[in-house]
Amino acid sequence: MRAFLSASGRLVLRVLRGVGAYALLAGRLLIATPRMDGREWLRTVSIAGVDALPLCLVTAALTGALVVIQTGFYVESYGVTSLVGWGAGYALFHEFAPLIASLALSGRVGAGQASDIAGLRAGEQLPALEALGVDIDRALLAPRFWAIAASVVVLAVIADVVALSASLLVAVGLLGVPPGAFLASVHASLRVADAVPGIVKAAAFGLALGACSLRAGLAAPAEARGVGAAARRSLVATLTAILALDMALTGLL
Amino acid sequence: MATTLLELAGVWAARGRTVALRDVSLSVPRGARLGVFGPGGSGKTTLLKLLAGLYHPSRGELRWSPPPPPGGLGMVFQRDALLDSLSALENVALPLAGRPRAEIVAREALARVGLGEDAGAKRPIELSGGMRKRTGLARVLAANPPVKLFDEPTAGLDPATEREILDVLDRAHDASGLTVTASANPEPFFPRCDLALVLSAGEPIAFGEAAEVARRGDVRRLFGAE
Repeated sequence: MRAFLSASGRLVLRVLRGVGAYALLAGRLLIATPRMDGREWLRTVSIAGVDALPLCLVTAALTGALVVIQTGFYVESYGVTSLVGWGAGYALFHEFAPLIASLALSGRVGAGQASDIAGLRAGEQLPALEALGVDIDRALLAPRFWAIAASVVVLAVIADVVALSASLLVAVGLLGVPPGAFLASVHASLRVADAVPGIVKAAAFGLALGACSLRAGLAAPAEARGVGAAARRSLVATLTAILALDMALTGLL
Repeated sequence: MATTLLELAGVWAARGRTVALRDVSLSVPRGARLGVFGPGGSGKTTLLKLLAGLYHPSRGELRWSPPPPPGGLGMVFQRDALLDSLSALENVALPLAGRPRAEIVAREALARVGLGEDAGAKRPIELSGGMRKRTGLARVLAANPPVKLFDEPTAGLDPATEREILDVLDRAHDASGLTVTASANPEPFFPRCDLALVLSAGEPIAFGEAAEVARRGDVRRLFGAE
């Protein structure tokens, strides 16, 4: 009983420490945001975008194709090929595009940011800047956080277009759906408002990804082994956070 | 008589079970040039990091009178500590963000350490070890804080560049502040320091006027001069 209580207590303390650390990080980022370095933001957006774009394009195209392949059998059986466009568009806009963008970025960019921040601590760059009075929240952390969040939203929109295009190609090539019918189905059943839940999800996933990757970098030991540990921690934390947020937001939106 | 700017009273520094500094006590007046010398692993870097506020004493007291304001202290680390995502010029300009003429001041600082426009445009990864070291020095010179801490500022430099850098450091000294230089090779620094502290395995073995400390037999033996 005593061991159980002790383990439970340790777990509660660990969770509270984690919540406190994220709250502190959020506070630091919010305070630094109005004065953040725009050039660092732009640099991170361009690096993050270029880095994650190929993976995002490939996974978006494959997912778009798979959605049609998986539903193709039933659609043909029931003779409702006119609904393929709506089904693919709905699934991609609401669910898959934000997931594809955030997962592509968490693997390529989130883990990279975490190990970069951990490397800057291990290599004494951050202490050196702090000793010189440089506000690292303003110069590094806030721009990178907002750059990651913005990149997820932009990549989610690109993933929407690429995945829907792949769906169209497979529907035409595999199911023999006329392109006009596919596009008419998309146009008739999907409205601009249908893109909103996906964009809201992408924004939420982006904020979670930015916070988890920066936190993993800042919490890692300031030594060489901390660099790899930060990347692993970031990946685990972002995947958990993204899927948990997806569950919560799917119920709300 | 100059007023005391920095005072350490029985300062210890420990990380876990490892004790890096034991019972260091010293008093340094405003405007002094302090040399901190000792072989590798003697606690020089730990002492500089304590002065920079990056570590805290595990025992004893460290007092600044008055404490340096934000940005009033700059440290050049043993490793160059530059951001690889920025050019050398952007690295030097980083502590100057928001100040007028930041880029011009950064260019001037790079020129003072012998680096021109070409080197300034390169990323640290494209520079040699010596050039990276000089870029790190330029960053502190550009920020020009009254308190400057240099950890092995000439390590890895050729003799001619070493002399140039020592002259640059001399000229950068602020008579109302403090310059602390740590090195495992004290010979070139003794004549350029007012005070010297010699550490061995974390313990102070000599502290006083640099010229007197340089003549001591135990100090000369420690550095293999006898």
